[in-house]
Amino acid sequence: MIHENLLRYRQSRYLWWGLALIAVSFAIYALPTGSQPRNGGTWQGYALGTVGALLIVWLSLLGIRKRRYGGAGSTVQGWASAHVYLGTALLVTATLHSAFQIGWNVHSLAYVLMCAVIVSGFYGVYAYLSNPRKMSRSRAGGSRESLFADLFALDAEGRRLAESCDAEVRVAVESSIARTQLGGGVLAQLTGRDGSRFVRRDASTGTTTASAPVANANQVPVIDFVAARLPRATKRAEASNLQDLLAVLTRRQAVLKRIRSDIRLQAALKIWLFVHVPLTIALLGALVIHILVTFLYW
Amino acid sequence: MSDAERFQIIVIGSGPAGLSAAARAAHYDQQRNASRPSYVLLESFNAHAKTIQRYQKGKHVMAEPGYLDLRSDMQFGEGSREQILDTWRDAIPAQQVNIRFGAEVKKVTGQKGDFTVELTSGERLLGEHVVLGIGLEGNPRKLGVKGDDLPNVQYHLDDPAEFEDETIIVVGAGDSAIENALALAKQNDVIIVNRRDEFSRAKEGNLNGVLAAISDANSRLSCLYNTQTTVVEPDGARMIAVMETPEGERRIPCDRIIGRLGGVPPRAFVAAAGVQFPNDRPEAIPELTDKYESNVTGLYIIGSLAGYPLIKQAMNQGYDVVEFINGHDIKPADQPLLEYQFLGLPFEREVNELLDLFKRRIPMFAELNALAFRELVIESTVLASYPGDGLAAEAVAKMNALDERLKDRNPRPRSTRIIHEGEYIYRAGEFGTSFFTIAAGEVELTSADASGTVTRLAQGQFFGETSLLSGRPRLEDAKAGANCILVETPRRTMLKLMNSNESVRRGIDWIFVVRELQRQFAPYSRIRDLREVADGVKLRAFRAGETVFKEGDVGDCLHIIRSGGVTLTRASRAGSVVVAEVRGGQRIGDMALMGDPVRRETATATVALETIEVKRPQFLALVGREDASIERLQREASRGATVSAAMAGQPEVGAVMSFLMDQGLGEATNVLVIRDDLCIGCDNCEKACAETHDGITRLDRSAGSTFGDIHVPVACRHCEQPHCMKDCPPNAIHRAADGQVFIDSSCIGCGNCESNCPYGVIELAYDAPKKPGLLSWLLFGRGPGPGEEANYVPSAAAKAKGKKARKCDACVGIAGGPACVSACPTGAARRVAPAQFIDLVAIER
Amino acid sequence: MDVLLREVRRRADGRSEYIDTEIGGDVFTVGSAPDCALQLLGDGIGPRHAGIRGASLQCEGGHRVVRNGQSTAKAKLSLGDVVEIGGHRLTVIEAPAGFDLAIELLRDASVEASAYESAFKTDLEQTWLGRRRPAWILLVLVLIASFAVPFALRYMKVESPVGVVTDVTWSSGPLLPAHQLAMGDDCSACHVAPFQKVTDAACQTCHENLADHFHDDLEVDGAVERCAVCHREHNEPGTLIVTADSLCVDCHETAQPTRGGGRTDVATGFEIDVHPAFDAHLLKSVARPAGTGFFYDWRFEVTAVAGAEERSNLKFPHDVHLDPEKVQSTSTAEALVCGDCHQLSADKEHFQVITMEQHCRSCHDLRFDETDPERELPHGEPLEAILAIEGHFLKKYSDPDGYKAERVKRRLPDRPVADDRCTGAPYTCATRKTLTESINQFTVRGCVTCHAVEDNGSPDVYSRFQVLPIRLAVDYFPGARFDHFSHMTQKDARGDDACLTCHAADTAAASEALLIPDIDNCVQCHSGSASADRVVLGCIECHAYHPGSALTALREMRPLP
Repeated sequence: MIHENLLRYRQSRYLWWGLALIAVSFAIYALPTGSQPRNGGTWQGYALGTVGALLIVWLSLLGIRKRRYGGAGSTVQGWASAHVYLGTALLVTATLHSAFQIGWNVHSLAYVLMCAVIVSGFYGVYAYLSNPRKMSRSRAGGSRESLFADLFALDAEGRRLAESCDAEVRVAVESSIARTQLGGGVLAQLTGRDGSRFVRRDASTGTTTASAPVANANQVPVIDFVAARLPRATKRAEASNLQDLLAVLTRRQAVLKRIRSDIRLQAALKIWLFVHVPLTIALLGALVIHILVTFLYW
Repeated sequence: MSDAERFQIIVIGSGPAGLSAAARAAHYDQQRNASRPSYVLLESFNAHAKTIQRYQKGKHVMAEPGYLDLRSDMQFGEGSREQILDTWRDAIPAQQVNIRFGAEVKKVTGQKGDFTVELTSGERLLGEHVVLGIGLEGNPRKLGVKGDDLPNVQYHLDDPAEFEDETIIVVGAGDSAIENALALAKQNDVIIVNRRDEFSRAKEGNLNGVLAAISDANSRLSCLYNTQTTVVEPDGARMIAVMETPEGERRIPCDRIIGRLGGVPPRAFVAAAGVQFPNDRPEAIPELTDKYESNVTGLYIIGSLAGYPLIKQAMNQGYDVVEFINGHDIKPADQPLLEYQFLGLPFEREVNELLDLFKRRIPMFAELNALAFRELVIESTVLASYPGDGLAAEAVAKMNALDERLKDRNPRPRSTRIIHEGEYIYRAGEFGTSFFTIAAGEVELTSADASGTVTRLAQGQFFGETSLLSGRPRLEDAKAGANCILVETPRRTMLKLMNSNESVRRGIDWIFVVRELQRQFAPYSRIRDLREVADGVKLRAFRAGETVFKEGDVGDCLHIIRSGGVTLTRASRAGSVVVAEVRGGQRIGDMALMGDPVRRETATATVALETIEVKRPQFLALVGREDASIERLQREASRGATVSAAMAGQPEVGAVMSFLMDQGLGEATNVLVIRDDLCIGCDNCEKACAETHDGITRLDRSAGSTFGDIHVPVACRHCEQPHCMKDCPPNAIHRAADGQVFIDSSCIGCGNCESNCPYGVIELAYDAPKKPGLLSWLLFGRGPGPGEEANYVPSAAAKAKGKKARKCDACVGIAGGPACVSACPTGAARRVAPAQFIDLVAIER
Repeated sequence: MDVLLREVRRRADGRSEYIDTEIGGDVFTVGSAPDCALQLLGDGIGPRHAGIRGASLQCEGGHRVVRNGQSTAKAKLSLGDVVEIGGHRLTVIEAPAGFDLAIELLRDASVEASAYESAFKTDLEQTWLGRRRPAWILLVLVLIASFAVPFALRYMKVESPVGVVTDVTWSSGPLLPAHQLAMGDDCSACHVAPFQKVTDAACQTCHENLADHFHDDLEVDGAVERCAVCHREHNEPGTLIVTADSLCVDCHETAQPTRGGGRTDVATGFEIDVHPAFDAHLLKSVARPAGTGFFYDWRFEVTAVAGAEERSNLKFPHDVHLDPEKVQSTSTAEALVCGDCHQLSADKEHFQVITMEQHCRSCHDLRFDETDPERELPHGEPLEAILAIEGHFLKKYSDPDGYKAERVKRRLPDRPVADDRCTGAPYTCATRKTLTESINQFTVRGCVTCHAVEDNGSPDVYSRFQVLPIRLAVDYFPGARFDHFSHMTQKDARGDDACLTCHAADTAAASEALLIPDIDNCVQCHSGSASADRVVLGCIECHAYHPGSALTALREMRPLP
C-alpha cells in the first residue's frame, strides 16, 4: 500500500497519541482535589488548561507549517493526521479543564469557539475522505480544465450548427449557450442549482420571450425544443443539421452535468475551511483573553 | 573565366571557428604588412555566424566550458546573442578580415598546395590550405523550384511577431515548420504545405497542436496535404504560389513563403572533398589528426563539424589551425587542463607522453585518433589510487595545493582524483552512467546479485558499461585495487565517441553482451569462455510500440533487455490483457527455449527498446556449461509464468499497468503518482515545488492523465536514459547518485532539453521575482502568496539573465525528500519507483 | 440604444467572414459573464468588464481597457477607435442607418479555450466567502466585546451605559449569594488592582471586627497570608470556606513560636499521637490580705486535663448527689439526674449557670432557730446573716411573753436548758446568743456545708468570718468547640449514661475532681482521617480559625503569674 489516507497515516500512530492524551487528561482530572470542587481553579484545572492552550496554539500552527515547504523530518500529512487526532482529544482535555461549567463569560466563549472549530473540523475530515473519490468518479478521468475545453468546443460547434438553422432555433441555441449558468454564488455552488435560461421564440404561437428568457434547467427544455423541430424539418440538409445540433446539445448537457457536480462537490469539500479558519483565529483571540483575564482578576 | 584568385588559406564558414581562423590569418598579414590578403573567409549567408544569427532574439549565450581559456584574436565572452554578434561584426572591419558574404561553396577539390574551391556563382578560388568551419547545420534546403529566391521567400524565421495579417505559406512538415506555422497563425492566415498525407516527423506536442489548429474552424491555420510547390510567381508586391494538390493545380496568392525543409547536411559536401568518415551514422565525425587535419592533406576541419559544439573550443581551434598551417607547433589551449588531470599520478611525465601511454595501454582506444583521445581525457576525470600510506597523503597535499592555486577559477578545472586502495569507486544500486577504463592496476567487481561473483579487471579493461548503455543503476560494487589509474568518462562523451568510432562501439557492445550473458546464465564462468557464445548472439533494437514477438508464434530465441521496457500481453475475450512489465536486465521469452516453443504472450516495446537476442544454439551452449545456474533459470521462468497467469486473471490490474506504461513509466525511475480519491486539489504540491525551487513550479497537478483513481501529473519521470540529457551543449543536466536528474546553473537556456522531453515536463522560464514573507501574506494578504505567481513579471536582471530550463530535480539535496510529497496534506501524492508499480495496481484489486 | 456587433471570423482558407448581431438594451455590456451583451473570455476580463452607453465607454470594478494603445478606465468612443480587452479587439465602425453604434469584433481565439472557465464562478474563492477578512473581523469583535470594552469601562472609569458588556463577563463563576447581594456586579469591590490577588483589606472593608487567628502572643504572622487562602469566591459548586485540614496542618505540623517564648503544640490530625492531649483552662483564686481579712483574685491556668484539679472553693461531691440512696429530688423523691442541675444553654456547648436559689436550696435550707423554723438566713452576704441572727434574738429576748412561751416548751435533750433562759438584761442574752449561733452557722453547720469559711477568731463577731468566693470556669477549652447536644444521644447510651461516657461524675468523690475527658476519650469514636468504625473529624469541626468569643473573654483575664 503506497498511499495511505489521513487517518491511516503510519498505522494511525496519532490515533494512539490522541487516546493517550485523553487518558492523561482523565487521570489528571481524577486526582483528588482535597476539599476543593473540581474546576479550572484547582491545580488540576491549571494543568489541563496549560495542556489545552499549548495544544490549541500547536494545532493552529498547521496553517503555517503547511506553507513552510521543504521542512525536513516531518511531512504535512503527518501534521494533518496528528492535527485531526489531537484536535479531537483536545475536546476532552478542554471540557475537563472547564469541569463542565458553562456561563455567559469569556471563558465559556473560548470553549464554545473551540468546540465550533473542532466540529467544523470533523466535517472537514469527512469531506476530505469522501469527496475526492466522488469527484474523480464524476470527472471520469478528465480534469476540470479538460471538461471546460470540451464545453468550449461544443459551444463553438453548437453556435456554428445553429447559424445554418432558422431564426428560432438559432436564437434558442445561442441564447441557451450564452445563458448557461455554472457555479455562481455560494449557494448555487453548494447546491449545484442550475439557473440556466434560454430565449424561446415560437412562430406557431407567435409569442416571444426574448425579454424574459425561460428556465433551461439541465438544458432539457432547449433540447426538447430543438427535438420538437426535427419532425417539422422540411429539407434533408436541415434535418441532418438539426440531428447534429441535437447530438451536440446532448453531449453538452452531459459535460455541463459533470462540471456542475464537480463544482458542487468541490464547494462541499472547501466550504468548511471558511468556518474553520476564521473561528480558529477568533478562538486564539478568546484564548488569550481567557488567560489574560484570569490573571487580571486574580 | 579569368585565372582564379589564389590564397594561402581559404576559410569556409564564418562561424566562431572560421572567424577566429581568419582573424589569426589577418594578424599574420598585418605582421608582414602584406599588400593583399593571403587568405579569404567565405560565407554563404549575407551575415557572419549564421547559426548564432538564428538564435531567438536576446538569447543569452554562455562561454562554456568555463575552465577553458579563450585563445583568439576575436573577442568572446558570455552575453546576449546581439552583443556577441555586434562585437564580431565590428571586429571584422577593425581587424581587416577579408570576408566574402553570399559566397556559397559548391565544392572543394584538390589537396595541399592546390585546392580548388568552386562557388555556386561559378567563380573559382585556388588555395594551398582549406579550413572547413561550416558547422553541422548546413545550408537550408531550398524549394528547388523557379522563384524560390524571390525576396519574400525565406528559409528561416526570426520573429513571428514581425508579420501581421499576411497570407503566409509554410512549406514543410517538420517541427520547425509546424512551430513557425502555429506562431504565425496567431495574426496571419497561414497555409502549411505538406508533401505527404501526415505529419510523421513531428514531435507529439507539435503534432497535436497542428492537427487541432487545422480542424479548428476559428483558427487561421489551414493545411494542404499531398501537395508540392511547382512554381512561385511574383505578383506585384505579393506572390502567387502554384501548388500541385491532389485536387489538381491551385494558385494561391500570398505575401510570404517560408521554406522549412531542413538543412542540407554538410556531410555530403565534406565527403565530396574526399574526407572519410568512420561510419555511416549521421552523427559520425571525420577522422582528424591532432592538428585538425583530415585525411585529405591540407584540408582542416574545425568547430562543430569536427565534434566541438562549443563556441570557445571552435575559436581556439581556428586560432590553432592557422598557427599549425604557418608551421608553428604550438601547444593547444587546453594543455594546462591535461596537466591538472595528470598532476596526481604517482609518476611525472609530459602530457603527450602520458596520453600516448594511456592510448597504447587501453586496446579499445588504441586506434582512436590522438585528437579524439585527447578530447576524451579532457572531458574525463582521472582517478589514481594509492595504498593508505604516506604516498597518498603526499598526493592529496599536492592536489590541495593545486586546488588552492585554482580556487578563483570558476568553474574549477578538473584535476586528478586521489582515492585509496580498497576504496569503492561505486556501489551497487547507485545511479551513475559514467564509464571507467583502467590505465593501470586492478579493479575488483563484486556483483550484487545472489551469486555474488567477484571479477578482477586488469589494465586495459573497462567497466561501468551496463549503466552507460541501459541507464539502470550499477549492478555491482567496484573496488579500487593497488595503485591503479582509472579514466572516468561521462556518458555524453562516451556516446559521442561510440557514434563516431565503430571499434569503440563494438568493443563496448561486446563486453556488455558478455557480461550480461555471464550475469544471466553462467555467473561463475570466465569471460573468455563465453567468447564464442557472445559472438553468436545478436543485438536488436525496437521502436516504441514495435512487436518483439507474438502470442502463438513458435519462438526460437529469448531476449535479454538491454535498455527500455517491454509489455507482455495475452489475448482474451476482453481483448488483450497486460500480464507483465519487463524492464532492463530481465529476460523475456525464455519459456520458448526451455519448454513449449509456442509463445504465450505478445511482447511489445513500451519505449525504445534494445535487447540481446539469444538463439537456441547459444542458449544450449550456455545452459550446457557445468557452471550454468540452470535451476535458477527454471525457477525464474516458472515464477514468470505463474505471475503472467495470475495477471491474466485480473484484466483490470493489467489495464492500470498498461495505462502506467502509456504514461512512459516504462522508462521511469521515480515518478509522481497522485491518488485522485485522496487528492483534494489544494495544489499544495505545486506550491511546495515552486517555493522550494525559486518560485517556479516544475509540476502541473491538474494536467496529465488519469486512469481510475491513479493520476500521473505532468512531472519529470527521471527516465532511465533521460531524453533531456541527449543534447545539452554545456552538459548542464546530471544524474545524482540516487537517480535524480537535474539541471545545474550552467544551463544556457538553449531549449534542447525542453524539445527533447517527450513528457513536456521541462519549461524555459525567467527567474521569478522575490516574494514578501509568508506571514505578511498570511496576515495581510501581501504578495501573491505561496506557489508560482501566475504570469509574473520578471525583473530586469532576470530578463538579462535570460530564460533557463526548469525541471523537477526530485528535490535532490533537500532534506525531507521531494517537497511535493512531504507537502501533501492528505497523502495523495507519492513518488513511486518502478518496483512499486505493482503495489499501485494492487490497490485497485 | 441599438448596437450592431460585427464579428470577424477567419475561415480556414484565409478569407474573412462577418457575422452581424443586433443588440438592444440601454447599455451595451462587455464582460466574461454569460449574460453580458458581449461575452469576452480571457485573463483579466471581469464578469462585468465595461459598459458602453451612447458613445461613452465606462469600465467597472477597477478594470481597464486599452484604447488606441492607451490604457484607460473610461473613454469617449469615436469612429475608428480600437479598444482592446484582454487580447480581443473592438473597432468602432461606421454605424448603418437605425443603429446608434457599430462595433467590429476580432476575437483572440487562442486565449478563449484556455480561459473559458474564467467565464464562470466555479470556486468558492471567487465568491464573497473568505478566510482572512472574516478572521480579522471575528478576532477584532472578540477582542473588543470581551476585553476592550470591559477594560475601558473598568479602568478608564467610563460610565457604563446599560446593555453594554462589562467586566462581569470576566467572572469565572457565580458569587456567594450573600456577596452577590452585597456588591452585585461591582468586580472592583474585591479586584482592586490589576494582576493583584484579592487583598484582605478588600474583605475587611465589610468584615471589620474579625478576631485574628494570630493574637498577640503568637509571633508568627502572615503564615496564612490571605483570607482567600481559605475563602474562595467564584468557586462553584463549592462553598466559600475551604475546609481542608491541610490548610491548618501547613503551619501546625511544626511548633509555632509564641511571644511568651513558648511554642504551640504540633498537630497534624486527630489521633492520640498526632494531636496533643487536651489542656484545660482552669480558674484559681489568689488571696491577698485586705483589712481584717483577704481579697480573693481569680486567675486562669492552663494544665493538662490528666490530673488537673478544679479549685472553685465549692464543696460538691458528685458521687453523693448521684447516689439514689443518699439524695433524692425534693419534688419527685427520685434520684437526681444530671439534667436537674446542668441545663444546656442555647449554644449547645455550654451550660446555664447553677445557682443556690434554683438548684441547692430546696435541700440545703438556711434555718438557724428551730423554735422558729420559718426564719432563714439570707444567702450570699455573711454580714447580713449575722445581723439577721442578732436582730432575731434581740427581738426574742426583749419580748416578755417569749420567755413564758419558752418555759412551757418541752425541753430539747441536745441543749442545756440553762442556755434558754435569760437571766439578766435581754440585750446581753441576745449578744451572747448571736455569737454562739454565728459560730455555729459558719463553722459547724450551715454555710460551711458547701463553702470554705475563714475564722479569724476576733472578738468582733462581725469581722470574724469570711466565706471564700466560688467561681467555675465558663469554658474549659476556649480554643475548641464541642456540641453537647449532638453527643447526648450516643451509640448505646441515653440520658445520664450519655453524659457519664465522658464525665465520670457518679464516681467522683472529691469536689476538686475535674470531670473533663481527655483526647483518648474522643478518639474512641472520632478520627482525623476517614475510617470505617469512627467518625471523621476535621480540624475546623472543633477549632475555629477565627477565635470564638470564649477565648476573647478569657483573654481579658490575666494568666497566673
